[in-house]
Amino acid sequence: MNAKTFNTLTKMKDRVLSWYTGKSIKYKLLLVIVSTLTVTFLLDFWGIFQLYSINKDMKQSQMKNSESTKRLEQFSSDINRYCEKEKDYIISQHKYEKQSIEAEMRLLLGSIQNSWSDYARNNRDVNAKKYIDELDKNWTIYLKLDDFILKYARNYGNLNEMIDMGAVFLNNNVARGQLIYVNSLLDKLIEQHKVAYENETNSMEKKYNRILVTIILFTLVTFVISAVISRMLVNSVVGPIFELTRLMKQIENGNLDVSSKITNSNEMGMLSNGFNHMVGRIKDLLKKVMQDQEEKRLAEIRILQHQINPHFLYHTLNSIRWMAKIYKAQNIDIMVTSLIKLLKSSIGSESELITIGNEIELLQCYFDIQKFRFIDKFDVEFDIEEQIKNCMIIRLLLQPIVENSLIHGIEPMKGKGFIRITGKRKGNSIEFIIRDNGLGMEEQALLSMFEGKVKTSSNFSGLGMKNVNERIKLYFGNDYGLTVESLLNVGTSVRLVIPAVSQNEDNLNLGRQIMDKSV
Amino acid sequence: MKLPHYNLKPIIIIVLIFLIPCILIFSYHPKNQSVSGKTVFNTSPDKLNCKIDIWSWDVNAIEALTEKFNEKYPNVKVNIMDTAWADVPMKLKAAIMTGNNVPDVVQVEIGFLGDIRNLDGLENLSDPPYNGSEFDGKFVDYYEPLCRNKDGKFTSLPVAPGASATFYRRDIAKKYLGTDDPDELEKLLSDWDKALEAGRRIKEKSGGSVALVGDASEIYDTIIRQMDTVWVDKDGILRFEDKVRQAANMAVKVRREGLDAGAVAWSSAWMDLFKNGSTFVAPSGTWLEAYVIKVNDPVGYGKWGVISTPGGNVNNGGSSYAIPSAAKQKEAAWYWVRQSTTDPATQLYHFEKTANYPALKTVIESPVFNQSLTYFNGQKAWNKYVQMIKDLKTPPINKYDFLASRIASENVNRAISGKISVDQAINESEYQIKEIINILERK
Repeated sequence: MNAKTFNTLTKMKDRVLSWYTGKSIKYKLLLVIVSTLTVTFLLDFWGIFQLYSINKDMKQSQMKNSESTKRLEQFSSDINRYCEKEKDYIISQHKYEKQSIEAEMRLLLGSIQNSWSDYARNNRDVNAKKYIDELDKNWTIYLKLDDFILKYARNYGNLNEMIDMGAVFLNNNVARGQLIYVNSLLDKLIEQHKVAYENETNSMEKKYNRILVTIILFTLVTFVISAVISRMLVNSVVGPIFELTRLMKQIENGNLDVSSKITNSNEMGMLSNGFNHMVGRIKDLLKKVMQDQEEKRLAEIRILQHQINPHFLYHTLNSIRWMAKIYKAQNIDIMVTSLIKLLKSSIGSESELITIGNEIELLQCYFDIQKFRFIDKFDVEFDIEEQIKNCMIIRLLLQPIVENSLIHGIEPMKGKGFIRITGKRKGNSIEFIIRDNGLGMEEQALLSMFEGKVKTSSNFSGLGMKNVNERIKLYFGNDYGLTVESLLNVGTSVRLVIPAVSQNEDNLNLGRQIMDKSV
Repeated sequence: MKLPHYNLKPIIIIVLIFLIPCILIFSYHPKNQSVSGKTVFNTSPDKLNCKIDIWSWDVNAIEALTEKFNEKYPNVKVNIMDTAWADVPMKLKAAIMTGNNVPDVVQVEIGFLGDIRNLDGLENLSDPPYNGSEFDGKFVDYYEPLCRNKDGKFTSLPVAPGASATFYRRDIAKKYLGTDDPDELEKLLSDWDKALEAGRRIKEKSGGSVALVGDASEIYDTIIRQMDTVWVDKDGILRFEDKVRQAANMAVKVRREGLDAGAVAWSSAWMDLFKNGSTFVAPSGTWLEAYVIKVNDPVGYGKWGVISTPGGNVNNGGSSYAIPSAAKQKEAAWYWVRQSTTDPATQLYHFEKTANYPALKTVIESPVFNQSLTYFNGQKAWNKYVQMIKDLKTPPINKYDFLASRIASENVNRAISGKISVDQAINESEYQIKEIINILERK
């Protein structure tokens, strides 16, 4: 095989394979069945053709045999002519014919003996040999009698004189009787020959017919069985697939109350089970989602209910403020005013985003309150660029970071703490840095902080930091977030980057913008 | 691991679909038809409806017997197959050997009984279902033993025994011997020497125009029969020299002295002698009356007489019926044989129609045989036959006796005609008989 042919073959194989791979299971099954059937049919036709040709051979040999039977019969009638027509004479009188008859007889005996042994073997005919032997024996006796009579006739001069003398007994009785006997045996042989051959032909024909009928029957049966099996195969394989496809379409249309009823123990059963299981899972999940939504709705209702309380709280706090003003308790006034602002911002507002200016204002309020708690414990410095104050930020984003610095960094330290908050625009982003000179953190604590693990030191809330980071990433995408640098006993610096979003850009656009970025 | 669970139902159905045609096809066998031999013959006569084949050379006799038979068995058709009496042995042997063309009944001449009566392939008629033993002793004494095989069973039943008888011309007797009275003539011709003496007187007185017999060989044949010994014994040794010499010498003497007419027996010239009355006696069998004399001399009423044969009465001819074992219609064949041989009315009818002498004792005792016959000038010729048959002894018969006797007589004929001497005839006969037996026995 040269390279070219090999290439062609490989190409063909690939083409066939790709063609086959693209076909449906039903098509493949049909292909397998049809090819199997074709092979079976070809074999059957081959068998029938073989039988047909054998039958032809048989008929030829039959013709040949009938010729040899005819020859035998011709010979028998020759002898019979001598027995019947020449009643008073033996064949000896016709020396020339006798010789030809003798030659013919020898020839026939030889050929009969040969062919007969075959027949006798095939037909288990024990008589066959008996008749041949008897014929051979008696033909020899006849010839000897004939010779003897001829020889003896010389005593009379010749045979005619012998007969004229009335010496006819040897001729008319002994030799003639012998010839009659021989002829009867010959007739019997012919008959046996015919019968044996007919029997053989009949039995062979019967056998062949039986084989033929068997082949035809088997072909039909094979066909029927193949058809049945094909149907069964197609039904058992393609049927379930169709069923599953139908169910799948129903699910697509939103009907989840379907289940496959295929209970086979084979792969189809497994598929069906998987399908049912999957549908069940989807149903469960949907149920859960709906439950969650319901719960969320209930929570919202609860929040609405709880909104009553802040109002009550505002009024109360306002009353406290006014009372503080009346009693000239300025510190209480400041605290309550800051608390009210904080409360308003954290509870009352609907919008998630506020301006950086507002956020800074809220931070100031927080510090105002904390200052009453940590009297002269810390100082705060804001360094916010004026131009970013109108940009938007997530509400109360900076507060947890500042709280962390205050509570975990500054409160436990000795001496006065310092917190510096800077906010600058850098290109399209805004960068906040919250730096303190607090206790700082160990490297280990720093690493675990973003994993939400807490408690490196007392009360440190890694949770708050992680929350902030996640909120930024959720809202603005993975390009944004916060980084923390800290040195133990030196301080912590938190860097927070958000996009620069101006106040007039609505939330929707923002959302879209963010989505595009995150993809 | 869970094993895959197969659904067995379709597999079983498929296997069954394959198996059922297989079983149907391979369980088919042609039915074997068994043929059971009938051991009891009990079909009523009118129910018997078939055709039987009978081999016989005596067509008239079979027709007469069948005529009577069909009175009782109207639905049995008899197919007579004319068969030369000499062809019967070999044809029968061939039929028995091959099973082809087997007759239901075969007539056997006494000459071949020695060969045929012990043949395998003939039915034992003594035992069931034939029960022919009930006819033991019913047939004429001398003939019955001839029909039995070496175990003493009937293999054929006698229909017509043949006794020797000597017919004479009354006119010649009266003219040359002075009397035509049977009793006186019997005394005058009591042996062959006396007969020859009478012949010489007749020849002398008639001036040679009237002879004693037609052919000297008739005398030879008769003397040979009277010798009553086997030709070839059971060991195959030839035992005929003395009797042939004796009989041949007598016949040669007759010829030399010109006491016979010189005609070859059974030739037309010999037949003519019965017409023109130029021979005195015909030593032969009782059957000669019907078969030769009355045929050739139908107007010879009163001219003929019958006496015992010079030298004593012997058997001459006769036949019986046998049934081959391979016969197809054994029951009908047996009824035919039984009625033909043992029914007195049938036997009598047979005799009246064909002059075949009855074998049944009760029949020959009947008054029919005691009547005076005008053809024999009032002589009770048939009664004479009865007397002669009663005196007969059973002749010994061996397988090759008939062959030996026929060869010998042909050679003696040559001696009679003067071609060879009696010694030569005997030597040649011996040589021929030995050779032929050797050939037939494949020695």
